[in-house]
Amino acid sequence: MQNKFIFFNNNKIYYYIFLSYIALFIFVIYSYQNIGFYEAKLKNSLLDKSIGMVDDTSSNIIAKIVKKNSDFVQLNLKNKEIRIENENTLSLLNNQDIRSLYVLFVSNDKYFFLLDIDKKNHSDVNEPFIPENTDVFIDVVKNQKKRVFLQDKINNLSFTLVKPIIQKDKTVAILVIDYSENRLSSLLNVSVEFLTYLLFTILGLLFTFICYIIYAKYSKYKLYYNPLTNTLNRIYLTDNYEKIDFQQYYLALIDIDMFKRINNLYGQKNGDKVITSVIKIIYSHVEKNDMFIQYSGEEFLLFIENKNRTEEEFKNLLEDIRMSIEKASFSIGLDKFSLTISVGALLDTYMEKSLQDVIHKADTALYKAKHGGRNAIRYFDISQTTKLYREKLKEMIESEKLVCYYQAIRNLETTELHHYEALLRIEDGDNVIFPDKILPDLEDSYLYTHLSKRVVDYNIEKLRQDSKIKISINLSADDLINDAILSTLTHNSDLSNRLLIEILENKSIDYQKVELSIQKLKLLGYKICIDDFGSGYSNLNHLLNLSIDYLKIDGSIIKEIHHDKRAYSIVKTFALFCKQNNIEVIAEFIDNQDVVNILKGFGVKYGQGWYFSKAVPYAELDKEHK
Amino acid sequence: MKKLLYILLIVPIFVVAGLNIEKVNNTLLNIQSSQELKFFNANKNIDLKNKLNFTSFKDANIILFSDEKNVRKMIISNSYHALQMNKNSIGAIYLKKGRTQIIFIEERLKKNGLFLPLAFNKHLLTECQINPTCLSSKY
Repeated sequence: MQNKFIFFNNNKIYYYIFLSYIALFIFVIYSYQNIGFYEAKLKNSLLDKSIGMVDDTSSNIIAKIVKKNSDFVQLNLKNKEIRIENENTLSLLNNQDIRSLYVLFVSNDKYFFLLDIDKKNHSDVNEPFIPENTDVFIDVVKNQKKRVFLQDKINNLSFTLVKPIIQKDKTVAILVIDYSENRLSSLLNVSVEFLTYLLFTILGLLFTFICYIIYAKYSKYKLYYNPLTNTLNRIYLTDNYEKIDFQQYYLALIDIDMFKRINNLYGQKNGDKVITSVIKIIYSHVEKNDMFIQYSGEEFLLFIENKNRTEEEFKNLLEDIRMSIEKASFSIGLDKFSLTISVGALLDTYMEKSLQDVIHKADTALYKAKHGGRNAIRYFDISQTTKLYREKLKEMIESEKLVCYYQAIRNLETTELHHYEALLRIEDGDNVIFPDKILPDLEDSYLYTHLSKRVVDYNIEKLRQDSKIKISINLSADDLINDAILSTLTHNSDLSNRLLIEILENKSIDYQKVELSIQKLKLLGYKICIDDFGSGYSNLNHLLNLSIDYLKIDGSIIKEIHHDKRAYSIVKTFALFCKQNNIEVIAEFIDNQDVVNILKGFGVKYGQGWYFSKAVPYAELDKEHK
Repeated sequence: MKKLLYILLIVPIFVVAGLNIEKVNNTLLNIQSSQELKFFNANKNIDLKNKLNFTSFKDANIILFSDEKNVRKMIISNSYHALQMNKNSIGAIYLKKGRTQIIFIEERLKKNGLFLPLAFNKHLLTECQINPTCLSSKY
């Protein structure tokens, strides 16, 4: 019950229900007031549709008759033969839905029969006719526009069509078609009553929908909130890992010191009461835009918004929380005791790639706090030197210092150039920094993907400048699931026949995630190569599933091939496997002709290494690319 | 004989079935005259709901729904044809294309000291308008 009470208080659900019902009420009242209008509109629309064909045909027939009879009324009044002929022509319009069809002429605002197709109850020419809806007839004569109206006062009639017969821009007569009761008229019996039922059905459906929304919201609330403390729990975190914009927050992981002792001494029920008291203290320091999650029994995650707080303010806040708990007195029965907390926190959340990484780092800091004697706050911080180095790298990546050197990959049989591999370098003055000096420091930081994106952009620019060059670039599995990189590759898919993508295999790949990206890139025409195969987590089964085009055997194996039997046998096996599965093999780190000969013997088609050429800046490449 | 009986009994009923009684009553009640108007309904199948001053044939000055020619009283006929044929007929009430037709001849009303308010103008026709030759020539 308490759970429901908190739910209704906290979710402003009353407002939603109240507002929904006000809106519904207004809708129902408004619709009910205008129900006559909707009824008429619906009927008119049905009438228009039903008379459509007769309307068109009658227009053609009347036009034909009028054209033939120079003075339509006079001729018909005086000449019986013409009258009979015209009545026969008009009879073509007759069908089982039409009860009577006749033509009236107007004299001194009175209507008289001119033609009548009814053979049984034929009206004499000149016989007067007093219509029920005189105003409609007057309107048709005056405005020369057809009118359709329902005949609710006349038995066995459903509706009437009145059309002007115009000769020399003057309405000389009017065609009247009375429709008998038929299937259409039962359809036309759309009444206020029917529309009211419809309205209440809609109302009922809306009511059910609102109830469903409340129920769904309540179910989620029950799943995500701790009923005792009304705070979010770990299930919420698990379901929303991707949605939480962690870079907006500082993060603190709080743990109640030695809490197991409380549970052991007083039981879990009393332990829960203590936890509730601790949460209340922490919660009193939290602001509206912050987030508090009960991570596990006595562990809490505190997301403090960093937009309006400096790092110093965040540190002060954590210290306030720590001190408040330290000073507080807790009691179970007659026993009174105090508690302390240990806190691990992370300030630079913006440097991290995922919420898991953020929590992991806060956890590392918490570990330090606990092993440093508890009742303390520790911050995860990369060393100042590393931090400065990262800042410098970031600056270099974003400047013109990032370049690519190109190493030729050649056909081992013909030594013809196949393509170049783009290799990252940072030119810092006279110094050239190699990737092995940079990448380990950037791993697991957002800078890594940022760097990859810059490499992609750099090479796309080169491909646009030089229409003869063919390049392969190295991307990590993480890069392949990065939206910005995928989007760039998608937008430049016209270059896909000259741009190969090498996927680094030195790290465990989440094949399921990467597979989708690879499939997409392959559809766009890109060729895929697995790089450094044999160095890390090589998996032949995944290799086949990814349907790659090239496989690059790791240099550390190749360079041992001519004096290490195991290396020799590994390369031989890989080469055979690839041959059987239509995968081209590239060997790297080739430094002499003996290696080339062995590789050729295995059927390895392409190779690269100092034996052929070193990686050089673009400016030093042979522009013929041979 | 059976055929005659059918014509005499069924046809009049059929012809007048579906008349808008309210409209008929309303129009007849609005006929104005210096003398008291007493009606006799010749067609008992039409129930005018006693809103009018009904009396016996002998005392009545207007006979309703009759096509009798030899009566020296004002007649409201039961067909357009009877109205055309009988000069004593001041008007006619009948069905045409499902609609109740109430027609009075202006000259004949005047001759009998009767008139209808302006609102009933659409029910008034002239002698010329019920004469095909006259109507055609005037068109």
